[in-house]
Amino acid sequence: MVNKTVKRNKIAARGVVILGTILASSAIWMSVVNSVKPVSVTSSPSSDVSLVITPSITNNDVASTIVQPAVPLQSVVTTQTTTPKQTISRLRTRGS
Amino acid sequence: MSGTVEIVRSFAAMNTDVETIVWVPASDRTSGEKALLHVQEFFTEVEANLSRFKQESELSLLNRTGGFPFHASPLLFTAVTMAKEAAQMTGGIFDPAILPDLLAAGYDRSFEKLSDNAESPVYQLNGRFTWQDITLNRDLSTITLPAGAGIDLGGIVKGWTVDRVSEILKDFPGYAIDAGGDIKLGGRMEDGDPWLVGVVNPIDEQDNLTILELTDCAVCTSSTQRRRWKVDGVTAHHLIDPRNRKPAISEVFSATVIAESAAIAEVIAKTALILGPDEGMQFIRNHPGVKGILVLSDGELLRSADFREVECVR
Repeated sequence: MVNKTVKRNKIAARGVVILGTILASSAIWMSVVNSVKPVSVTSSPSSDVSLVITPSITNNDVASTIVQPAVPLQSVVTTQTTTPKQTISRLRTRGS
Repeated sequence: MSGTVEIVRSFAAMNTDVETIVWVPASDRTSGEKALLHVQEFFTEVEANLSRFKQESELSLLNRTGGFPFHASPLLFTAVTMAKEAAQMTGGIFDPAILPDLLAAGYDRSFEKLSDNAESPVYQLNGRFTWQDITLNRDLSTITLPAGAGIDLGGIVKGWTVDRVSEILKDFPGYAIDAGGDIKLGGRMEDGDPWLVGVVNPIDEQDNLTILELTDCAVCTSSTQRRRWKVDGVTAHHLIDPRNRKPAISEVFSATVIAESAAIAEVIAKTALILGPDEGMQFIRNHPGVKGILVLSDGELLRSADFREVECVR
């Protein structure tokens, strides 16, 4: 009987430890989650981002020289309002 | 410039990545998109006609017609005229007629195909020629090369194309054209600040050596650390020194030049690199309004006197 009570107490104690660990982990996790500020996607004009892929624009308008490119122009076009800093990082001069 | 949007068009041309950017009023996106489409079309047109890597280009036709007058389109005639003027300006250090030497050094196909031995070069040339061997007849619009001669217009034509397409974009509040590091900028960024451009460290391309604040100008870089390949275990690169007809051996790893025109910046950068630190910097200083920075093989940086005026990180 005494052994059974001791065993139950051990199990209960272990349960408390596990529960405590879970709660502590959750608290840490929630603090991390809460520390990340939500990104506004509706209130700022800087979220107005669209991506248009134009794989099949043909080059019909250029007529001044001998060779006309036969293949469609391949390109990626983006339209967006951004902070200037985003633009900066793209421009780098290097040997070519 | 509140209420403006940025439109970016990215594409591949002239064996490099091209990125074009315009700031336009939000109500006028369509005009910005159309303008950037025209920019891409112009790049494609120039490449189709003036690439030495394209079998059917007009430049390749000229390079296969040595010994005879070649009736050139206005585009080719303009480009070759410009290249001859650049050669004269640099005392022949920039020389479009070094193509046979470039082929001899192993650069006989576009760079991404250099390791592909199955690919045949567009043509083979031999002989030693200079820009003075190129004969232009403006009245007849003909170009005559000696038999065995050939022209490479690579870098200068890319710079010239950047200059030309900037005319398409000049009326927008701000624009940038970046053709593989040959950059032209107009107006300002959205907040009214100058454009910022990183100068890549030739030793570590992830690193910027400095940041430049620029507007209404061009900036170009020449480097021996890119477009390198090996021939019989020996490393070669694409910048030929016309004085010995070999890839230049220079203490300058890279030269970055700021000028009004991308074609001029490209030519001065290449020339300064080939000339080496002292002569190269002197060459930059000899051109009013031109600024430059040389990166030496030991990591030392040489700046022209007014270069620091455009640096925002020093």
